[in-house]
Amino acid sequence: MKAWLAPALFVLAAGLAGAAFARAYGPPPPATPQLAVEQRLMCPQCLQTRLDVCDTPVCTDLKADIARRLAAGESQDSIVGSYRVAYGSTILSSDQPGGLAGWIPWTVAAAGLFALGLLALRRRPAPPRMAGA
Amino acid sequence: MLLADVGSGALLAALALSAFAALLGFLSGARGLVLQALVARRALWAAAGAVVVGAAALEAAFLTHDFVIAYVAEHSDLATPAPLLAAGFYSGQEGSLLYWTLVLAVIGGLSLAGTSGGRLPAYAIGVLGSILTFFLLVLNFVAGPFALLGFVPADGAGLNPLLRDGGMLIHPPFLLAGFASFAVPFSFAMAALLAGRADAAWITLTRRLALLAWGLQSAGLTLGMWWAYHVLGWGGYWGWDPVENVALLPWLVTTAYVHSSQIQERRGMLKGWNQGLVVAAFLLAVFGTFVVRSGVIQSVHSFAISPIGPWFLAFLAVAVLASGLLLAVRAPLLRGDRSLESSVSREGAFLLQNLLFVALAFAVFWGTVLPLVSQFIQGRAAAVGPPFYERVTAPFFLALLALLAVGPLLPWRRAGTAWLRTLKWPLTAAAAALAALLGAGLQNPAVLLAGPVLAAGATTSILEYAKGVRFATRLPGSWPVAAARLAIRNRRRYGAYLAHLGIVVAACGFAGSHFWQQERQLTLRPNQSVAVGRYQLTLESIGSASAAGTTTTTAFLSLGDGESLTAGRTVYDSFGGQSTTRVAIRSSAFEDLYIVLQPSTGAGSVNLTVFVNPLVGWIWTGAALLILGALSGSWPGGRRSPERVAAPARRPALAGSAE
Repeated sequence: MKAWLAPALFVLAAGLAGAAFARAYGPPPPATPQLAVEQRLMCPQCLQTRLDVCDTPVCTDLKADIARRLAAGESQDSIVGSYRVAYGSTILSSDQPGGLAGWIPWTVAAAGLFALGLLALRRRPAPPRMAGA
Repeated sequence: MLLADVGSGALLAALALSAFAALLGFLSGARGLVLQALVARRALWAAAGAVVVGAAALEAAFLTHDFVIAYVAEHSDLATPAPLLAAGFYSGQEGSLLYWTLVLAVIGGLSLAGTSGGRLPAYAIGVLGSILTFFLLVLNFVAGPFALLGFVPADGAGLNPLLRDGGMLIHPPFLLAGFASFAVPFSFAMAALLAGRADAAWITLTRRLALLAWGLQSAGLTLGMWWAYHVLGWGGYWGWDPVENVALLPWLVTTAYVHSSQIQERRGMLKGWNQGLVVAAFLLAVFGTFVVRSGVIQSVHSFAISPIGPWFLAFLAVAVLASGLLLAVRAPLLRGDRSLESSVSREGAFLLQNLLFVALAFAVFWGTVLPLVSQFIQGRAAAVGPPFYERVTAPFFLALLALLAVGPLLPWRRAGTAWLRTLKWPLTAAAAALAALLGAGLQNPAVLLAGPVLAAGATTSILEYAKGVRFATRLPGSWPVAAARLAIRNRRRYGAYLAHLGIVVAACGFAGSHFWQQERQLTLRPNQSVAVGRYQLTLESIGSASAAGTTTTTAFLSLGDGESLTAGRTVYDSFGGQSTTRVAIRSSAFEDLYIVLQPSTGAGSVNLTVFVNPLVGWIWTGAALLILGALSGSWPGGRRSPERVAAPARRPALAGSAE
């Protein structure tokens, strides 16, 4: 058996499987307006739980309120904005800490990478020369 | 009453024995006393035996419904099935602490079995005994599992509804065991510093245990994800909850250590770094315990909050100070035997990988403690959610996967230009994957980056096995037998490649379920059908039943292919209306259909949230491969790697020998 045959077959199979998977699972269909609004909001009571997947009574009430306002013709942005005013920015599922808070992990990683670079570039003692060389 | 007396007595005896073992261990290590070191070890074993008796007493109390013990009455009732009754042992604060202590005592005791009188093991007994003593102090005087009620209730309160699941039987024991067992490498690392040993003896002594601890942590995290996926009913498996985060932190640091310890064993480098990683992993495990039990950061696991937080904070402070001081004092000893010859080498790849893991751990740690930090600085707790973690951690994970594709192909010391030729197959696979994704019309940059990296990683791992098979074909006898022998003899090496392959498979699962998840919200009446993805979902009927303080609603569903599914929701009146879901899941090799019954908002209909989650099963398969790889690497026997442990000369008295 040729040495290259097994990896070549594997690569071919991986490529075909990737293509088949990507074709079978195209981009997810767009969410309904109700779901789209719910996915933009967090549960105000639980932690780390998005509104659309939370089943607490407060979220059940919020979902009903969103449905009513959408049916009345209010825009998605307006509904989300009103909740932001009522609960603060933590109600938004896309809320991110800005400024220093968001950059600190990257700063630490960059500092580490810099230290690693210094370590790699550190001058090493020259190997001993052979006598008479 | 008898079981409570036996349990209390055993824990008190264990406290005395472990304190004695700790003191004598330190004394023997400091003064080089051989006989006393052996006595200290036996005292630690006796303490472990007493803890086993205490744990057995608590388990027996659960199984016999000994409700005079407050902890038993609070965490079980007569209706609890026997397996969950047994799991009640660690379902609350006191019992889980006793479980921590049990694992620490038993694994700590076992780790000392292969050692005899030496300064390193003597000091290790001292450190292990000290940690054990702390836990036993808490168990005896702060959070005792054998506290008695003034009366015998007819029935107990029962297990928390969220914990009434099969996952409860396996998830907490694995995770807690993974945390507790990492106290052993920590103890040996500290012992090496105390003994003034700069060689890799402590790594060699604890290598298998460290791998085992890492495997247990991996299993615990995976089972936690599996449990969340099957029980919590939000369509996902990882929510970046603070308690999930603090469980992930020690795993990230331990993963870095599992790799970097090889550099010290083989090349005598990174001595101080390895000590630091072991210390950090253990301290993060204690930090996690503090966070879960103190309530200092809000979490969905808040049922575990109790007054023992300050005790753990004090222990954490002492451990940080002691280990930091020791590392500082011994810093001159921890210089590497040699420096990095080339950054393009196996050592260089390990270093970069370690940096990425530590940075990743810091990012998760930072997000977790941000509410505390912002409260302190700004007077307002700023919480971060999954988007923050996904944005910050994704590049690190991607870089680690890329390194997984390249690192194993790098030689030790220095890579010449010949090394570049070994990249041809991973690069070809990456190019093929990229072409396939582009050909399928995908434009998401994250997918276009992740797909090729995963393909390259998988190719590298499989190539290593292919090389082994090729080598086996040149050996005498049939090649499958020769290949199996080769893999068994070199199980550390092939275990590592299996773990790498597991990581790639699991990463495919994470990517698939993240990028291609579909979600639908439905309200259905009986006999109504709707198409979701490739499924034709029909609500056949709705059932409702009430029993023993619970009300259960059930949606009986069928799919177009005739398969039936049942989604349920139970409301527990006795737990303040707390509800649990029974998620209906139909799994296949490539996707899960995941149906959650939501609270009802109208008579005669049900509200369902339906997810199609691609490749979730790959996460469990990948994790199983990873754990199998870790087990394989930590299994005793096999060919020893070329370790360069500078074994000191045998001396009659204690001289730092581990033998």
